[in-house]
Amino acid sequence: MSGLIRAELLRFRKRRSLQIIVLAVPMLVAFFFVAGLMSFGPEQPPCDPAAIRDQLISEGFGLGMPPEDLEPLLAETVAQQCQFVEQQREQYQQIRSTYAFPQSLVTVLGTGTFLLFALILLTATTIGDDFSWATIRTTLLASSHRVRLLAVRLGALVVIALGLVASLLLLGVSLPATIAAVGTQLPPAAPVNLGGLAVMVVGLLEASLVVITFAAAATLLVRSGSLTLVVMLVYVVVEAAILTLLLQFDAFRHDGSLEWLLDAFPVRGLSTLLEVASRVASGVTRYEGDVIRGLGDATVPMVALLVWALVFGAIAFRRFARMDIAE
Amino acid sequence: MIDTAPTVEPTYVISTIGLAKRFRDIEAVAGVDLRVPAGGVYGFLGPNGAGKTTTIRMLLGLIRPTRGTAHLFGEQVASGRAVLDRVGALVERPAFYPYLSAPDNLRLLGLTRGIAESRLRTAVPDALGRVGLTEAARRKAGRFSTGMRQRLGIAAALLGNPELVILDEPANGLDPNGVVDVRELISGLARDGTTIFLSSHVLPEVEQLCDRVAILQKGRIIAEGATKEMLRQGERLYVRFETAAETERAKPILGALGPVSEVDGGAVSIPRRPGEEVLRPLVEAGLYPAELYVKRQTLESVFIELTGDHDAATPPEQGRATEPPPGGGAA
Repeated sequence: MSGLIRAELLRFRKRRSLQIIVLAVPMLVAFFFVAGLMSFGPEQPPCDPAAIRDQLISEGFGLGMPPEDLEPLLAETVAQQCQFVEQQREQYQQIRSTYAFPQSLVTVLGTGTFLLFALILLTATTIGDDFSWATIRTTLLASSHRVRLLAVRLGALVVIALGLVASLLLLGVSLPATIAAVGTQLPPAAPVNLGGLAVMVVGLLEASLVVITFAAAATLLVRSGSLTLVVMLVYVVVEAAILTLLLQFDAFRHDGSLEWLLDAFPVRGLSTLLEVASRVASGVTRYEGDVIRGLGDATVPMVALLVWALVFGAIAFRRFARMDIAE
Repeated sequence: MIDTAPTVEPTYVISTIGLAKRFRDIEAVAGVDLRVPAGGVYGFLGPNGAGKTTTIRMLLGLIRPTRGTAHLFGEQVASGRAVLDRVGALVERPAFYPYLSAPDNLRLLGLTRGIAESRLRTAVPDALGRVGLTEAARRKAGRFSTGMRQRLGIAAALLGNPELVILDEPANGLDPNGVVDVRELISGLARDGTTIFLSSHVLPEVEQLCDRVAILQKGRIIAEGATKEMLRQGERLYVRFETAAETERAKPILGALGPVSEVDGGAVSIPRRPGEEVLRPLVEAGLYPAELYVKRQTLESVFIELTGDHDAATPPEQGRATEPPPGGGAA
C-alpha cells in the first residue's frame, strides 16, 4: 500500500497541470476576495450636512423661494440625504466587515465552488488520462489490486481536498491581515458562530467527497475525462429539471410535507447546506423575510451528501473492479 | 463469469480450461485449453484477430472471461490475486506516462508493484541497461519513438525479476538490431529459469526461441506441441527419377509408405521416412532415384499450412525467404 501511495505522489509531483489546478483554487479565491472588497470601494466618510447643503444650493435647490420657506425645506432634505448616506455607509460597513477576521473565514469558505470545480477537474483528469493514454493497462499489469489502486487514487484526491479546505481557512485568516498591512482599514467584524463554521467546513468536505466519487464513477463509466465534464453538466441540468417538475406539486413547495426531500438532491443539497451554515456562522439567520431556523436545517443535506458519496463511491469501485481493460 | 476453479496441477505455469471471451456478437476466444510448463519459451501464434491478445489479457486479469478459467502457477486468475505479482507482461503497444522520464515511469511501476524504493535504485538502471535505454533515460517517455517505447515496455515487464514473463509482440516497431537484442534477452531470461510466454508474428524468431508452440485460429487452438516435433512432422521426403516412366513405376511403391504427392520438376514426395526404408523397395524393383532429399519445414510454412493465412506470417522485411525445395538436407 505504501508503494501505491508513493507512486501516486510521484504522479502528482511530476504533473505540472495538476499542480496548476490545485494552486488555482487559493489564487482565485484570494483574487475574488480582494475584488469583492474593492467593489464596495474605500470606507465612505460620514455625512457632512454643510457640504450637502452647499451642493443643493449650488444645484439651484429652492431657487426663487422665500427664505422662510426654503430654510425648513433645505434642512429636511439635508437630513433625508444624510440619513440615506448613513444607511448606505452602515450597509457598506456591514458588507466590508464580512471581509474582516473572523467573518472573512465565512466569506472565503463561501467561494468553495472553486474547490469543487477543481476537484472535478482533478478527478476526471487523473482517472481519464489513464484511459486515454492506456496507462491503466500498464498500471494494472504492475498491480492487479484494483480496489487498492482506486482507493489510493481517491484517497489522494481527498487529501488534496483537505489541503485545499485548509488553505481556504488559512486565506480567511491571512487575507484580512494582508489587506490591513497594505493600509486598507476594515471595520471590526462580529464574531462567528463556531458551530456554523464547523458545519460549513464539514459540508465542503462532504461536497468534495461527493464530487470526487461522482467524477470517478462517471469517468470509469465513460472511460474519458473530458466526457466526464459533459456528464457533470448534464447531471446539473437533469437535477434542475427534476426539481422544477417536483415543485409543481404542493407537497414539495414551501412548508409542504415533502419539501425536505428537495435538499436530498446533491446540487440543491450542497447549496442549501452552504447557505444555512454560512448564515448561521455569520449570524444572519434572517434575511429579506427568509428565516433560517438553525443548523438543524442542514441535517437533510448533510446526511444526503454522505449517502450520495457512498453510492457514487460504490458505483466507482464496483465498475473498476469488474470492468474489462480493453485499452 | 469466472467458473468455480477446478483443481489444476501447479506444475504448469499457465493453464487454461475452456477459456472463452465474447464481445457482443463476436466470440474472440472460443474455448482455449493451454498447458504451459515451467521454464523455456512458449510460443503463442495465430493470425491477426485469432484471439491471442484477448487470451493474454484474460491470463493477466485485464479482462474477465465469459466462461472457462485461467490459472497461473496453479492459482485461478482474478483481479487482486497475489499470483499476478509473479508475472511481468508486455501487452500490445506499451503505454507510459508521457510527462515522466523512462526511469520515473519504471520507478512508478516498481512502486505500484510493491518493490521497495531502495531496490528500485538499482533495479531501474539495470532494467534500462538490459534493453539499451540507458542513454535515453532522461528523455520524457512522450518523446520516445515506437521502438524505444517497446524497449521500455520490455524493461517494465522485467522489473522485479518475475517468474513468468508474457510478451505480446515484443519485436513490434523494433529495428533489426532491436529484434536481435530482444531475441538474446529472451534467450538469456529462459536460460536463467524464467518462463517466457511469447506471442509473435516474427515466426523465424519464434522458431529459434520457442521450445513449444500453440497455434490459435478463430479463438481455438488448432495445433500445440514441441516446436521440433511440429517441424519434423511437417517434413517431406522428395524422390526424383531421370524419366517419367520410372516416376510412374515408383508411385505405387512409395504410396505404400505414405500419401504421395507429385511436385513440379517430376519429383514425388512422401512424409519423411528413414532413407533405407524408402530406398530398399525401390532398388528391389530396379528403380534408382537420381535425387533423394528432405525439404526442411519452417514454422512459417507449418503456420501457413495450418491456418491458411498467408498474410499473417512474418512481414517481408523481417522474414526469411521460403526455402527452395532442393536446398534441404539429405535423407
